[in-house]
Amino acid sequence: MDAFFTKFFPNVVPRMPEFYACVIQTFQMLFISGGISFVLSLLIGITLVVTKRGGILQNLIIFNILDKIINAFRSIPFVILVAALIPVTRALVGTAVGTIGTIFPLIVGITPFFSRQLESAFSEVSPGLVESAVTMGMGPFEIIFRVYLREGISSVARATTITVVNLMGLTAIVGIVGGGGLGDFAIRYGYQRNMLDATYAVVILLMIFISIIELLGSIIVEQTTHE
Amino acid sequence: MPEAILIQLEDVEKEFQTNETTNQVLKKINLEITQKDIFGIIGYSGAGKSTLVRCINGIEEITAGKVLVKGKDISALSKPELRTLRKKMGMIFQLFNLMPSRTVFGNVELPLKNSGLSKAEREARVRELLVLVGLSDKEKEYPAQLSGGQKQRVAIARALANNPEVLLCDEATSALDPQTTKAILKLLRELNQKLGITIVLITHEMSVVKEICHKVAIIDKGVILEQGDVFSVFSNPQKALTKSFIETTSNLKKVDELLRENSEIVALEPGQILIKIQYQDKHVSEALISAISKKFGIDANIISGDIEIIDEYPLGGLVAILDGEQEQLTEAITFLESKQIKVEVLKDGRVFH
Ligand SMILES: Nc1ncnc2c1ncn2[C@@H]1O[C@H](COP(=O)(O)OP(=O)(O)OP(=O)(O)O)[C@@H](O)[C@H]1O
Ligand SMILES: [Mg+2]
Repeated sequence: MDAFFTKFFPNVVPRMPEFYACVIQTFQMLFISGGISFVLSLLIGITLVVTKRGGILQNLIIFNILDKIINAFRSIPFVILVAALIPVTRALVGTAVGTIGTIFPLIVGITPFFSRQLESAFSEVSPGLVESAVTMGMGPFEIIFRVYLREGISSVARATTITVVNLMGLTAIVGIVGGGGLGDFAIRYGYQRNMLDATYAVVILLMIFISIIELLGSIIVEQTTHE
Repeated sequence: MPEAILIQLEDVEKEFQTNETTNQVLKKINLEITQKDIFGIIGYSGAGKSTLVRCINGIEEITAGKVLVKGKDISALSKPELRTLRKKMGMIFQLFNLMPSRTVFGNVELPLKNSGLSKAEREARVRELLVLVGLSDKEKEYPAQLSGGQKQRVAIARALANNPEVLLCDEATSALDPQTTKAILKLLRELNQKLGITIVLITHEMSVVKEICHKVAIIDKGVILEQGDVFSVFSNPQKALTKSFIETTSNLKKVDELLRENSEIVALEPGQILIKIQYQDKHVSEALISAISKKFGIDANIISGDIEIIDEYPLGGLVAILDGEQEQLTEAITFLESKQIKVEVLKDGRVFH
């Protein structure tokens, strides 16, 4: 087994501690920025759905402002966004480099996408269900918790899976600004020093991660769908 | 003792604004729904039926007029007051609108959350409701595992959870087959009798109105064309649309076709007449055909009949060929008319000297 790895990944095997560190950094970026973004995006996604025309708390001003902000941020390519956010990141966390420095740009980068995904997830909750909740005399917050969040779970799981896969892509990009992680590893060794096996090791690992995430996602979808 | 008026609509209007254009969906609607009534509202698609019921529980805000529930103007209510009111007005829908992620039990329990009942009390109430709608054995199933009729029963149980005084039904049987429709209507009638709950029933099917309603309003393009108790509206329709609804469930029209085709069935011997008689009044319960045949020595050959019991009285009529002495035939017609029966001579084989 060892012989196998040494043969196919000659440049990775001697750097295993660094490789592990990169895996951990990637996970940190993924979970911290993903977790914070999940909460923010739930808030924004729900706000969009309830304030839109015909929503239970229709408020077109709030809706339009949020809608425009999301579109504006989504139109900025992520690499440029990271660079543009450097001063803000520095002011917020004291540094714009390293894994800590990547969390804020990752949140800003993924939240607009995630919010849109969740907005459409909640829009899939049939208007008839919301209407019947209104006729039961439920208030807006009860409807959000008992109908949108509850009936939207499987759509939310689907949206989250797609977003995590996207976020994984972004964590690789922030390697450029010294964020560390697997993307950084692949660029430093695989690209800059032409060690192709380092790139492939990262590719294989990412593919395994993504498969696991998608599997988890589909298990949740299955468990929460009663059709 | 006359029952109190529960819901009153006074000159209710509703407009929808859609980019520059105004769509007036309800025009000067006046309705009175009495306690314990089963009040049908019938009209074709797009007539404004759903909008009308949605104005009753304030889901739709009206543009002009007043909706009074127990004498209180609902537009004057605060949001929490309106929610409290809605708890006392259950509603069921064509497509049931059950929460797919909750079991039958969970769906029926839903309106009871936040109602101040303890968990044990809620459980007891849910079980009681499931017995009422005949679904005690389904409590752990999910809506997707139920048939349409069972889903509507769950929806009814859910709508009744907070002991409402009114049940609003928007096309509640339109997605069901005729047999299931009958069963659901039967359940609604039982609930009306057992619990004294007032039912407002929206439909586009005349058979539904005939089956259970006491009162009916016919709505077309946002206007109430006619309203009143089902028997008088049906026995004496004033408007063409009402007549066309009645004809959808009547087979007395068939004779017109037979006549047009000169069918053998309606061929007359000299001296015979083909008549259509229709009940117009609630007091007819005599054996009229045998009465005229005895009294005037007439032979009656019934071609087709369509008599239904509406609101406990017979409604509808018969088409028959009468054979007898000419004077006797004429007297028989006069006799029938004296009993408040509408008589139409469709074809006359009498030869007058
Ligand atoms: N929210 C809305 N905005 C704009 N127009 C509406 C809205 N709701 C209903 N309408 C219009 O009001 C009219 C009546 O609709 P409504 O749903 O009350 O009809 P209905 O009698 O219930 O018909 P159906 O039998 O098809 O359910 C239709 O022309 C419809 O387009
Ligand atoms: Mg409708």
